[in-house]
Amino acid sequence: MRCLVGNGQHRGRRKRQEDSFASSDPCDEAFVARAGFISVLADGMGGMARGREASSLAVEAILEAYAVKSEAETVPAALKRAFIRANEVVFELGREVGLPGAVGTTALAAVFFEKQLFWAWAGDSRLYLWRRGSLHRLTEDHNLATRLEGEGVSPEAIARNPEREALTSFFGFPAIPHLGLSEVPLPLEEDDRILLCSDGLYRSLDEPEIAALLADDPRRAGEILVDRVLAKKRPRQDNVTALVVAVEPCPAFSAGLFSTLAAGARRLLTS
Amino acid sequence: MAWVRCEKGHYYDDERHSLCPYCGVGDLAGQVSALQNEALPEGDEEKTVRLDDGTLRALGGTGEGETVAYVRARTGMDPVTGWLVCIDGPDRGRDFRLRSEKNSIGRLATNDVPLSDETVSRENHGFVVFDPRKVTFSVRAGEGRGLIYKNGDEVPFSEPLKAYDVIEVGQTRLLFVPLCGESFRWE
Repeated sequence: MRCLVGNGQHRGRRKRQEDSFASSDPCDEAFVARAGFISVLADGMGGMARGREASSLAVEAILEAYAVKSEAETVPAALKRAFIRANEVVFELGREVGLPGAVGTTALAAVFFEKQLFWAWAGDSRLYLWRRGSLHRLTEDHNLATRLEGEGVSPEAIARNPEREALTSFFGFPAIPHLGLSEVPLPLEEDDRILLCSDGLYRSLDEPEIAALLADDPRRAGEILVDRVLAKKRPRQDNVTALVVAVEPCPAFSAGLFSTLAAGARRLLTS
Repeated sequence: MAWVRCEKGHYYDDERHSLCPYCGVGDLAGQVSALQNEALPEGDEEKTVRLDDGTLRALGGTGEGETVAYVRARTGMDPVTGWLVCIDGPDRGRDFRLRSEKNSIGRLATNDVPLSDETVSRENHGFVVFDPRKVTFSVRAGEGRGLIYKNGDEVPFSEPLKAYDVIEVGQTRLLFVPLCGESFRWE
Protein backbone atom coordinates (compact mmCIF):
# COMPACT_ATOMS: atom_id res chain seq x y z
CA MET A 1 0.00 0.00 0.00
CA ARG A 2 1.35 3.41 -0.91
CA CYS A 3 0.63 6.62 0.88
CA LEU A 4 0.89 10.34 0.28
CA VAL A 5 2.07 12.61 3.07
CA GLY A 6 1.76 16.34 3.65
CA ASN A 7 2.16 18.65 6.59
CA GLY A 8 1.73 22.27 7.62
CA GLN A 9 2.77 24.21 10.67
CA HIS A 10 2.63 27.77 12.03
CA ARG A 11 3.52 29.45 15.29
CA GLY A 12 0.21 31.32 15.46
CA ARG A 13 0.40 34.31 17.82
CA ARG A 14 2.70 32.57 20.23
CA LYS A 15 6.29 33.53 20.80
CA ARG A 16 7.60 30.06 20.11
CA GLN A 17 6.74 27.05 18.04
CA GLU A 18 6.35 24.26 20.56
CA ASP A 19 4.73 21.66 18.29
CA SER A 20 6.91 19.01 16.65
CA PHE A 21 6.14 16.32 14.11
CA ALA A 22 7.76 13.77 11.80
CA SER A 23 6.93 10.87 9.53
CA SER A 24 8.94 7.79 8.63
CA ASP A 25 10.12 7.23 5.08
CA PRO A 26 7.47 5.39 3.04
CA CYS A 27 10.10 4.55 0.41
CA ASP A 28 12.25 2.62 2.90
CA GLU A 29 11.03 -0.82 1.86
CA ALA A 30 12.72 -2.76 4.64
CA PHE A 31 11.15 -0.47 7.25
CA VAL A 32 7.73 -0.61 5.57
CA ALA A 33 7.80 -4.41 5.48
CA ARG A 34 8.67 -4.68 9.16
CA ALA A 35 6.93 -1.69 10.71
CA GLY A 36 4.76 0.03 8.09
CA PHE A 37 4.58 3.81 8.04
CA ILE A 38 4.43 6.02 11.15
CA SER A 39 3.56 9.69 11.67
CA VAL A 40 4.09 11.38 15.03
CA LEU A 41 3.00 14.74 16.44
CA ALA A 42 3.71 16.31 19.83
CA ASP A 43 2.51 19.60 21.33
CA GLY A 44 4.91 20.94 23.96
CA MET A 45 3.17 22.58 26.85
CA GLY A 46 3.52 26.34 26.77
CA GLY A 47 2.77 26.86 30.42
CA MET A 48 5.82 24.82 31.19
CA ALA A 49 9.55 25.27 30.70
CA ARG A 50 11.15 23.98 27.51
CA GLY A 51 7.99 23.04 25.62
CA ARG A 52 9.72 22.87 22.27
CA GLU A 53 12.52 20.65 23.47
CA ALA A 54 10.04 18.33 25.14
CA SER A 55 7.94 17.92 22.00
CA SER A 56 10.86 17.44 19.64
CA LEU A 57 12.51 14.92 21.99
CA ALA A 58 9.21 13.04 22.27
CA VAL A 59 8.82 12.83 18.47
CA GLU A 60 12.40 11.65 17.96
CA ALA A 61 12.21 9.12 20.79
CA ILE A 62 8.94 7.62 19.52
CA LEU A 63 10.31 7.26 15.99
CA GLU A 64 13.58 5.76 17.21
CA ALA A 65 11.97 3.31 19.58
CA TYR A 66 9.30 2.31 17.06
CA ALA A 67 11.91 1.84 14.32
CA VAL A 68 13.53 -1.11 16.11
CA LYS A 69 10.25 -3.05 15.94
CA SER A 70 10.93 -6.63 14.93
CA GLU A 71 8.66 -8.67 12.70
CA ALA A 72 7.53 -10.68 15.72
CA GLU A 73 6.45 -7.66 17.75
CA THR A 74 2.89 -6.45 17.13
CA VAL A 75 2.26 -2.81 16.20
CA PRO A 76 0.34 -2.00 19.44
CA ALA A 77 3.15 -3.52 21.51
CA ALA A 78 5.75 -1.50 19.61
CA LEU A 79 3.71 1.71 19.98
CA LYS A 80 3.29 1.14 23.70
CA ARG A 81 7.02 0.46 24.10
CA ALA A 82 7.86 3.61 22.09
CA PHE A 83 5.52 5.77 24.18
CA ILE A 84 6.88 4.48 27.47
CA ARG A 85 10.44 5.10 26.26
CA ALA A 86 9.66 8.60 24.97
CA ASN A 87 7.96 9.54 28.24
CA GLU A 88 11.12 8.51 30.10
CA VAL A 89 13.17 10.78 27.83
CA VAL A 90 10.88 13.75 28.49
CA PHE A 91 10.83 13.07 32.24
CA GLU A 92 14.64 12.91 32.13
CA LEU A 93 14.75 16.33 30.40
CA GLY A 94 12.71 17.72 33.29
CA ARG A 95 15.23 16.35 35.76
CA GLU A 96 18.17 17.71 33.75
CA VAL A 97 16.82 21.23 33.79
CA GLY A 98 16.07 20.84 37.48
CA LEU A 99 12.34 20.95 36.97
CA PRO A 100 11.09 17.37 37.32
CA GLY A 101 7.45 17.19 36.36
CA ALA A 102 7.54 20.75 34.99
CA VAL A 103 8.41 19.85 31.39
CA GLY A 104 5.58 18.40 29.39
CA THR A 105 4.27 17.48 25.96
CA THR A 106 1.36 15.67 24.38
CA ALA A 107 2.10 12.85 21.93
CA LEU A 108 0.17 11.19 19.13
CA ALA A 109 1.31 8.49 16.72
CA ALA A 110 -0.50 6.78 13.83
CA VAL A 111 0.77 3.71 12.00
CA PHE A 112 -0.26 2.33 8.62
CA PHE A 113 0.64 -1.35 8.59
CA GLU A 114 -0.66 -4.03 6.24
CA LYS A 115 -3.71 -1.96 5.25
CA GLN A 116 -4.65 -1.30 8.85
CA LEU A 117 -4.45 1.82 10.99
CA PHE A 118 -3.12 1.71 14.57
CA TRP A 119 -2.68 4.67 16.90
CA ALA A 120 -1.60 5.75 20.37
CA TRP A 121 -1.77 9.05 22.24
CA ALA A 122 -1.48 10.97 25.49
CA GLY A 123 -3.00 14.45 25.79
CA ASP A 124 -5.29 16.50 23.56
CA SER A 125 -3.69 16.20 20.12
CA ARG A 126 -6.22 14.53 17.85
CA LEU A 127 -6.38 11.89 15.17
CA TYR A 128 -9.16 12.07 12.59
CA LEU A 129 -10.10 9.63 9.85
CA TRP A 130 -11.48 11.14 6.65
CA ARG A 131 -13.43 8.59 4.62
CA ARG A 132 -15.49 9.47 1.54
CA GLY A 133 -15.81 13.08 2.64
CA SER A 134 -16.83 12.59 6.25
CA LEU A 135 -14.70 13.03 9.31
CA HIS A 136 -14.42 10.61 12.25
CA ARG A 137 -12.49 11.39 15.40
CA LEU A 138 -10.44 8.45 16.62
CA THR A 139 -9.00 9.89 19.82
CA GLU A 140 -10.54 11.25 22.99
CA ASP A 141 -8.92 14.35 24.50
CA HIS A 142 -7.18 13.61 27.76
CA ASN A 143 -8.34 16.77 29.49
CA LEU A 144 -10.60 17.95 32.28
CA ALA A 145 -13.51 18.56 29.88
CA THR A 146 -13.54 14.86 28.89
CA ARG A 147 -13.30 13.78 32.51
CA LEU A 148 -16.19 16.06 33.54
CA GLU A 149 -18.23 14.83 30.56
CA GLY A 150 -17.70 11.28 31.80
CA GLU A 151 -18.94 12.35 35.23
CA GLY A 152 -22.17 13.61 33.65
CA VAL A 153 -21.48 17.35 34.04
CA SER A 154 -23.56 19.42 31.58
CA PRO A 155 -21.83 20.88 28.48
CA GLU A 156 -22.79 24.40 29.65
CA ALA A 157 -21.10 23.92 33.00
CA ILE A 158 -18.00 22.47 31.29
CA ALA A 159 -17.83 25.43 28.90
CA ARG A 160 -17.77 27.75 31.91
CA ASN A 161 -14.98 25.88 33.69
CA PRO A 162 -11.79 27.90 33.17
CA GLU A 163 -9.69 24.75 33.66
CA ARG A 164 -11.59 22.72 31.05
CA GLU A 165 -8.61 22.48 28.70
CA ALA A 166 -6.17 21.36 31.42
CA LEU A 167 -4.57 18.05 30.41
CA THR A 168 -5.10 14.92 32.46
CA SER A 169 -2.42 12.94 30.61
CA PHE A 170 0.84 13.86 28.89
CA PHE A 171 4.56 13.03 28.86
CA GLY A 172 6.67 14.37 31.70
CA PHE A 173 5.66 12.36 34.76
CA PRO A 174 7.56 9.24 35.90
CA ALA A 175 4.79 7.23 34.18
CA ILE A 176 2.18 8.25 31.57
CA PRO A 177 -1.05 8.91 33.52
CA HIS A 178 -3.24 7.54 30.74
CA LEU A 179 -1.98 5.98 27.51
CA GLY A 180 -4.59 5.82 24.76
CA LEU A 181 -4.23 2.89 22.37
CA SER A 182 -6.41 1.81 19.43
CA GLU A 183 -8.23 -1.20 20.84
CA VAL A 184 -8.71 -2.81 17.46
CA PRO A 185 -6.89 -1.78 14.30
CA LEU A 186 -8.99 -0.02 11.71
CA PRO A 187 -9.02 -1.60 8.24
CA LEU A 188 -8.03 1.06 5.71
CA GLU A 189 -9.87 1.67 2.48
CA GLU A 190 -8.68 3.21 -0.73
CA ASP A 191 -8.47 7.02 -0.56
CA ASP A 192 -8.83 7.09 3.24
CA ARG A 193 -7.02 10.04 4.78
CA ILE A 194 -5.91 10.65 8.31
CA LEU A 195 -5.19 13.94 10.02
CA LEU A 196 -2.96 14.33 13.06
CA CYS A 197 -3.35 17.80 14.56
CA SER A 198 -2.54 19.89 17.60
CA ASP A 199 -5.31 21.69 19.48
CA GLY A 200 -4.39 24.96 17.74
CA LEU A 201 -6.08 23.48 14.67
CA TYR A 202 -9.32 22.00 15.96
CA ARG A 203 -10.02 24.92 18.31
CA SER A 204 -10.04 27.24 15.27
CA LEU A 205 -11.74 25.09 12.62
CA ASP A 206 -14.92 23.08 13.05
CA GLU A 207 -15.22 19.53 11.79
CA PRO A 208 -17.18 20.26 8.57
CA GLU A 209 -14.50 22.82 7.62
CA ILE A 210 -11.74 20.31 8.29
CA ALA A 211 -13.56 17.64 6.30
CA ALA A 212 -14.00 19.95 3.29
CA LEU A 213 -10.32 20.96 3.26
CA LEU A 214 -9.12 17.37 3.57
CA ALA A 215 -10.67 16.60 0.19
CA ASP A 216 -7.80 18.52 -1.42
CA ASP A 217 -4.51 17.00 -2.61
CA PRO A 218 -3.30 15.27 0.59
CA ARG A 219 0.23 16.57 0.10
CA ARG A 220 -1.12 20.14 0.18
CA ALA A 221 -3.95 19.62 2.68
CA GLY A 222 -1.75 20.17 5.75
CA GLU A 223 -0.66 23.59 4.52
CA ILE A 224 -4.17 24.47 3.39
CA LEU A 225 -5.61 23.63 6.83
CA VAL A 226 -2.99 25.77 8.55
CA ASP A 227 -3.59 28.66 6.13
CA ARG A 228 -7.31 28.51 6.87
CA VAL A 229 -6.62 28.67 10.61
CA LEU A 230 -4.42 31.76 10.11
CA ALA A 231 -7.06 33.40 7.92
CA LYS A 232 -9.35 33.46 10.98
CA LYS A 233 -6.92 35.90 12.63
CA ARG A 234 -7.78 34.74 16.11
CA PRO A 235 -6.08 37.06 18.58
CA ARG A 236 -4.77 34.28 20.81
CA GLN A 237 -4.03 31.70 18.10
CA ASP A 238 -1.99 28.80 19.49
CA ASN A 239 0.74 26.92 17.61
CA VAL A 240 -0.90 24.89 14.88
CA THR A 241 0.30 21.72 13.19
CA ALA A 242 -1.48 19.47 10.70
CA LEU A 243 -0.11 16.22 9.31
CA VAL A 244 -2.09 14.47 6.59
CA VAL A 245 -1.52 10.95 5.31
CA ALA A 246 -3.61 9.43 2.51
CA VAL A 247 -3.88 5.92 1.24
CA GLU A 248 -3.14 6.45 -2.40
CA PRO A 249 -6.31 6.05 -4.47
CA CYS A 250 -6.76 3.13 -6.75
CA PRO A 251 -5.91 4.60 -10.18
CA ALA A 252 -2.46 5.70 -9.06
CA PHE A 253 -2.06 2.54 -7.06
CA SER A 254 -2.88 0.28 -9.96
CA ALA A 255 -0.75 2.46 -12.24
CA GLY A 256 2.13 1.88 -9.81
CA LEU A 257 1.35 -1.80 -9.74
CA PHE A 258 1.15 -1.87 -13.49
CA SER A 259 4.54 -0.22 -13.93
CA THR A 260 6.04 -2.68 -11.43
CA LEU A 261 4.56 -5.57 -13.37
CA ALA A 262 5.71 -4.05 -16.65
CA ALA A 263 9.23 -3.60 -15.28
CA GLY A 264 9.19 -7.22 -14.09
CA ALA A 265 8.00 -8.36 -17.50
CA ARG A 266 10.72 -6.34 -19.21
CA ARG A 267 13.33 -7.88 -16.93
CA LEU A 268 12.03 -11.33 -17.81
CA LEU A 269 12.10 -10.54 -21.50
CA THR A 270 15.61 -9.10 -21.48
CA SER A 271 17.10 -11.89 -19.37
CA MET B 1 5.67 20.11 -7.51
CA ALA B 2 8.60 18.06 -6.23
CA TRP B 3 7.64 16.61 -2.91
CA VAL B 4 10.56 15.66 -0.70
CA ARG B 5 11.07 14.33 2.80
CA CYS B 6 13.81 15.96 4.88
CA GLU B 7 16.02 13.85 7.13
CA LYS B 8 13.93 14.83 10.16
CA GLY B 9 10.75 13.45 8.61
CA HIS B 10 9.00 16.63 7.41
CA TYR B 11 7.55 16.96 3.94
CA TYR B 12 7.92 20.01 1.70
CA ASP B 13 7.90 21.15 -1.91
CA ASP B 14 11.52 21.65 -2.96
CA GLU B 15 10.50 23.93 -5.80
CA ARG B 16 9.33 26.44 -3.21
CA HIS B 17 11.92 25.90 -0.48
CA SER B 18 15.62 25.12 -0.84
CA LEU B 19 15.75 23.79 2.74
CA CYS B 20 13.07 22.19 4.89
CA PRO B 21 10.98 25.13 6.19
CA TYR B 22 9.87 23.19 9.28
CA CYS B 23 13.40 22.36 10.42
CA GLY B 24 14.27 26.05 10.16
CA VAL B 25 11.40 26.94 12.46
CA GLY B 26 12.50 24.29 14.93
CA ASP B 27 16.11 25.39 15.11
CA LEU B 28 15.19 29.01 15.64
CA ALA B 29 12.69 28.09 18.33
CA GLY B 30 15.28 25.83 19.96
CA GLN B 31 17.84 28.60 20.12
CA VAL B 32 15.31 31.02 21.47
CA SER B 33 14.04 28.67 24.15
CA ALA B 34 17.60 28.01 25.30
CA LEU B 35 17.74 31.59 26.56
CA GLN B 36 15.92 32.51 29.70
CA ASN B 37 13.64 35.55 29.63
CA GLU B 38 14.64 36.24 26.05
CA ALA B 39 13.31 39.23 24.18
CA LEU B 40 11.48 38.83 20.90
CA PRO B 41 13.78 39.14 17.91
CA GLU B 42 13.30 42.44 16.06
CA GLY B 43 11.71 40.91 12.98
CA ASP B 44 9.28 38.90 15.07
CA GLU B 45 8.04 41.94 16.88
CA GLU B 46 7.18 43.72 13.66
CA LYS B 47 5.36 40.68 12.43
CA THR B 48 3.28 40.47 15.57
CA VAL B 49 2.28 44.09 15.23
CA ARG B 50 1.40 43.71 11.60
CA LEU B 51 -0.60 40.56 12.19
CA ASP B 52 -2.56 42.16 14.98
CA ASP B 53 -3.49 45.10 12.81
CA GLY B 54 -6.24 43.37 10.86
CA THR B 55 -8.00 42.11 13.96
CA LEU B 56 -7.73 45.42 15.66
CA ARG B 57 -9.56 47.29 12.99
CA ALA B 58 -12.24 44.64 13.12
CA LEU B 59 -12.63 45.28 16.84
CA GLY B 60 -13.26 48.93 16.06
CA GLY B 61 -10.76 51.65 16.80
CA THR B 62 -7.15 51.78 15.67
CA GLY B 63 -6.20 53.21 19.05
CA GLU B 64 -7.19 50.01 20.76
CA GLY B 65 -5.50 48.04 18.06
CA GLU B 66 -2.20 49.67 18.68
CA THR B 67 -2.53 48.91 22.34
CA VAL B 68 -2.97 45.21 21.74
CA ALA B 69 -0.02 45.14 19.45
CA TYR B 70 1.94 47.09 22.01
CA VAL B 71 1.19 44.73 24.86
CA ARG B 72 1.71 41.55 22.88
CA ALA B 73 4.80 42.80 21.12
CA ARG B 74 6.36 43.73 24.43
CA THR B 75 5.48 40.72 26.53
CA GLY B 76 4.79 38.12 23.82
CA MET B 77 1.85 36.80 25.84
CA ASP B 78 -1.57 37.82 27.01
CA PRO B 79 -1.22 37.76 30.77
CA VAL B 80 -3.84 38.00 33.47
CA THR B 81 -4.33 41.58 34.71
CA GLY B 82 -6.92 41.05 37.45
CA TRP B 83 -10.01 39.10 38.45
CA LEU B 84 -13.72 39.39 38.95
CA VAL B 85 -15.03 37.27 41.80
CA CYS B 86 -18.71 36.44 41.96
CA ILE B 87 -20.02 37.23 45.45
CA ASP B 88 -23.75 36.95 44.68
CA GLY B 89 -25.72 35.08 42.03
CA PRO B 90 -25.61 31.60 40.46
CA ASP B 91 -21.81 31.70 40.09
CA ARG B 92 -21.15 32.73 43.70
CA GLY B 93 -17.61 31.66 44.69
CA ARG B 94 -16.20 31.56 41.16
CA ASP B 95 -13.44 33.80 39.84
CA PHE B 96 -12.97 35.06 36.28
CA ARG B 97 -9.65 36.13 34.82
CA LEU B 98 -9.30 39.55 33.23
CA ARG B 99 -6.77 40.26 30.50
CA SER B 100 -5.67 43.34 28.55
CA GLU B 101 -8.17 45.58 26.76
CA LYS B 102 -11.88 44.74 26.64
CA ASN B 103 -13.15 41.81 28.73
CA SER B 104 -16.76 41.06 27.83
CA ILE B 105 -19.35 39.99 30.38
CA GLY B 106 -22.22 37.80 29.15
CA ARG B 107 -23.97 34.46 29.37
CA LEU B 108 -22.31 32.63 26.47
CA ALA B 109 -19.06 30.75 26.94
CA THR B 110 -17.46 32.96 24.29
CA ASN B 111 -17.45 35.94 26.67
CA ASP B 112 -14.33 36.59 28.72
CA VAL B 113 -16.49 36.57 31.84
CA PRO B 114 -19.12 33.87 31.14
CA LEU B 115 -21.89 33.96 33.77
CA SER B 116 -24.69 31.42 34.34
CA ASP B 117 -27.13 34.17 35.34
CA GLU B 118 -30.21 33.92 33.06
CA THR B 119 -30.94 37.64 33.52
CA VAL B 120 -27.63 38.62 31.91
CA SER B 121 -27.43 39.29 28.13
CA ARG B 122 -26.02 36.53 25.99
CA GLU B 123 -23.16 38.66 24.76
CA ASN B 124 -21.45 41.90 25.77
CA HIS B 125 -23.75 42.85 28.64
CA GLY B 126 -20.85 45.05 29.72
CA PHE B 127 -17.08 45.24 29.68
CA VAL B 128 -14.21 45.54 32.07
CA VAL B 129 -11.44 47.35 30.24
CA PHE B 130 -7.77 47.26 31.16
CA ASP B 131 -5.68 50.00 29.55
CA PRO B 132 -2.11 48.68 29.48
CA ARG B 133 -0.57 52.08 28.77
CA LYS B 134 -2.13 53.86 31.70
CA VAL B 135 -2.35 50.64 33.77
CA THR B 136 -5.92 51.48 34.75
CA PHE B 137 -9.22 49.60 34.80
CA SER B 138 -12.69 50.81 33.92
CA VAL B 139 -16.16 49.33 33.62
CA ARG B 140 -18.13 50.06 30.47
CA ALA B 141 -21.80 49.67 29.56
CA GLY B 142 -22.66 47.06 26.91
CA GLU B 143 -24.67 47.22 23.74
CA GLY B 144 -27.86 45.54 24.93
CA ARG B 145 -30.84 46.57 27.05
CA GLY B 146 -29.40 45.32 30.34
CA LEU B 147 -27.80 47.90 32.61
CA ILE B 148 -24.55 47.57 34.48
CA TYR B 149 -23.94 49.10 37.92
CA LYS B 150 -20.84 50.09 39.86
CA ASN B 151 -21.27 50.21 43.66
CA GLY B 152 -25.03 50.59 43.18
CA ASP B 153 -24.92 53.38 40.55
CA GLU B 154 -25.76 52.83 36.90
CA VAL B 155 -22.78 53.08 34.53
CA PRO B 156 -24.12 55.14 31.56
CA PHE B 157 -20.94 54.92 29.53
CA SER B 158 -17.67 54.22 31.32
CA GLU B 159 -16.46 54.56 34.93
CA PRO B 160 -13.00 54.02 36.44
CA LEU B 161 -12.58 50.96 38.67
CA LYS B 162 -10.59 50.60 41.87
CA ALA B 163 -9.88 47.54 44.00
CA TYR B 164 -12.94 45.95 45.62
CA ASP B 165 -15.47 47.93 43.61
CA VAL B 166 -18.64 45.87 43.09
CA ILE B 167 -20.03 45.45 39.56
CA GLU B 168 -23.66 44.38 39.23
CA VAL B 169 -25.22 42.75 36.16
CA GLY B 170 -28.61 41.03 36.28
CA GLN B 171 -28.77 39.18 39.58
CA THR B 172 -25.00 38.82 39.78
CA ARG B 173 -22.59 40.85 41.89
CA LEU B 174 -18.92 40.75 40.96
CA LEU B 175 -16.06 41.96 43.13
CA PHE B 176 -13.17 43.53 41.22
CA VAL B 177 -9.66 42.47 42.31
CA PRO B 178 -6.80 44.03 40.28
CA LEU B 179 -3.39 42.47 39.74
CA CYS B 180 -1.88 45.25 37.63
CA GLY B 181 -1.65 48.74 39.08
CA GLU B 182 0.82 50.87 40.99
CA SER B 183 2.47 47.88 42.70
CA PHE B 184 2.74 45.58 39.71
CA ARG B 185 2.71 45.64 35.94
CA TRP B 186 3.77 43.16 33.24
CA GLU B 187 7.01 44.26 31.61
